[in-house]
Amino acid sequence: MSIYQVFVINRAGSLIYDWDGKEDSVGVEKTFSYPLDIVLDVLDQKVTVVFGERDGIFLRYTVCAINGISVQGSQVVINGREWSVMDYLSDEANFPVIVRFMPPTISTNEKIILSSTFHSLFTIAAQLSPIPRSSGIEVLTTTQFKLHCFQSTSGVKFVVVGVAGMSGAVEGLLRRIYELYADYALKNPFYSMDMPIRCQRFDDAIKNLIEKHDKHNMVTV
Amino acid sequence: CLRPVSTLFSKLFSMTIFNFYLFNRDGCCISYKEWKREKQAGMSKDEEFKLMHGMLISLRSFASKLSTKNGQQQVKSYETSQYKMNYLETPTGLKMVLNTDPGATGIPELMRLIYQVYVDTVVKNPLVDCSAEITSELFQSRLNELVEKHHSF
Repeated sequence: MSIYQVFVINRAGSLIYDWDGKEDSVGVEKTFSYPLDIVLDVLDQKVTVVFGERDGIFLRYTVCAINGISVQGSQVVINGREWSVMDYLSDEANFPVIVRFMPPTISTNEKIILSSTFHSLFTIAAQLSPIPRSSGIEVLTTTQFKLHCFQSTSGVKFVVVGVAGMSGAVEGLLRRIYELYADYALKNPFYSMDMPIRCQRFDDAIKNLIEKHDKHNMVTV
Repeated sequence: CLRPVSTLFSKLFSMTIFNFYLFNRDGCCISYKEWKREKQAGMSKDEEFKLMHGMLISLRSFASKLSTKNGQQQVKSYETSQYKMNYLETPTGLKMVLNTDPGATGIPELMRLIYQVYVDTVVKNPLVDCSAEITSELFQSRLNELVEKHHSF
């Protein structure tokens, strides 16, 4: 999959549609003895690795199960007793312990936050331009991904996040998504402007489009 | 009336370096320089530096939250229709921004060279306070020289 995410952001900066390239991950399991040689901390109500990458466990991985019992937030119920994960893992009597870690994921809430962040970054980039009449961010390049954004004349932003080596064919893909938005969302009599798009046919069309894009890119590479 | 011709040339070859910001780890702008800036931000320099630094911090947190991949996450650049913001952050928290034309090449290497100049003229000088604005004339002149001699200028 060369595309990780697609977002549609309305004029006010809120997320109205998102597509996610699902990557199933089972995580990493490891048996630990006392004391734990990985530094954990509670971030956003999740027990997260903050220091000490090793054996396929990386920073930002979260604890998802202890001794096969799944963790709810930062709490775990073991032998009928509710523990905080941090307390459980700092008690020597509980060792050795099998801990399962999961790679970081983006929840729907976080996607909403990310879209409004991008909306303001887009505006500030235009404001700080050294050249007059600049648009906002069109391409953002990092070491791990490349983000392409197309803003329609009406102010709706279409954002595609893909692998860092993504080619220029993304421009066409963004225009096609805009077309689908115009066809399936705007022509839908039950759709109210600036609201999240819940439309099966739009979902299917986006899915097909991205699959086709991936296949086409495979051939050209 | 040479100006229109020169801007036409720079548009044709689309190779220009506009301006440069250097922030220390506390977010203070310790050096700012502009060469061919055509539009000011419409606010005082002080406010502009704060806005720029705030944007960099948000950009970094945005990028790190958006990526679920392992390993180091570093923002490299962003492009708009008119310019490209090139970004370099060192592990010590020094942040460097170089705004250029989207077509400019060899900019990451140029930023490494500027960092080298910073180390040579500021960090290695025991009389200079690293957290304050850089007043070193040597730094200024070597920075100018580097940028103006660069093939993308």
